Amino acid sequence: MRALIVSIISLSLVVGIWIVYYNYSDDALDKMKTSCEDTVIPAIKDDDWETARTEFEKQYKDWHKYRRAALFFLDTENVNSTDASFARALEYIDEEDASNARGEVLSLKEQLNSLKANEKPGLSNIF
Amino acid sequence: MIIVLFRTMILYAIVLFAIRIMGSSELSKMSPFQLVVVFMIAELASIPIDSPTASLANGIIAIFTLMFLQILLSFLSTKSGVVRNIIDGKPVLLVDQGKLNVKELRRQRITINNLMEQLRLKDCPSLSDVMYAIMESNGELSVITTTQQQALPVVVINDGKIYKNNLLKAGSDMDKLYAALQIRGIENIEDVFVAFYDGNSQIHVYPNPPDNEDFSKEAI
Repeated sequence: MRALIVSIISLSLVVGIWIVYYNYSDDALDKMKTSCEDTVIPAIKDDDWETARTEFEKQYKDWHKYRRAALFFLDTENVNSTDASFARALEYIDEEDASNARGEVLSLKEQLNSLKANEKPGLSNIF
Repeated sequence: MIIVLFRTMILYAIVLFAIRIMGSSELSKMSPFQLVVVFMIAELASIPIDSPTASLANGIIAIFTLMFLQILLSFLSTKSGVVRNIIDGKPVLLVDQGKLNVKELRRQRITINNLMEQLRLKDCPSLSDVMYAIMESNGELSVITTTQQQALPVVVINDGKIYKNNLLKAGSDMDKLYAALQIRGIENIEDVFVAFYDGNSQIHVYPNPPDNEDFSKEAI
């Protein structure tokens, strides 16, 4: 009985921590995706580079905050490639290179989507 | 490289914790099922060590899940005969009172050569000297020779539950069983941890130990 209780507590602890992370991750990634979709990409289309830069830099800061927790739960490769996408997109925005900036931000949006989707408990992930 | 060092230390502690919690029955005379679980834990522990980019948390969750499932199934198998039979299987009598059970041999896909080899390894080269040969649930063969025993002990009560089939095999019935328990001052079946008939058809009863004790003494 003691072994069963200890195993239940151990499993509940790690699953509980994962649930807390998942809820945080869901919100954080949603915010970043929405910002890319609703603010950054339209600003790039309208050549409003100031808005695009300000908003994107804000998201980059949020990404660095999120990254610290994500590294405990996600594969380092996925996190690093998203890191690289952020850096490239920021550079394209700084250079006011519309087509590359839009392409990179769209690609980044999809990567954030994948980070979220890969952690979601669902049949497609389980199988 | 130093990451591998730290990961190895963490996973070593996790695996040690899991094996200790699962208990020493997991290490000796493991059933095939238990063996598979231990191999899976070893494999899961090696993945984050081999691949520093893989998440350590995923490995730990997987190990703890296996540990929990293994303990849960072990616990359920002590409470339910059905679960025990599904998880561990039942021992199979290949030789019963000197008679060869051909049907079971075929069902278990054991050839006579396999059987003879196992008997030789048990220092019993002649089939005619075998009173009972039992294929245990972990695949080992137990041999009781004609000189050792006349009949196999038969468990009739396990953790408060009566095995009616075994009671009949032992040549007893419910009335005799209750009478034997009453002589020993036991009123309820649920108070019995284990009761069995030995090879001389004598009943032995071990009641549940009192709350503040770990050991159960035979009730006489």
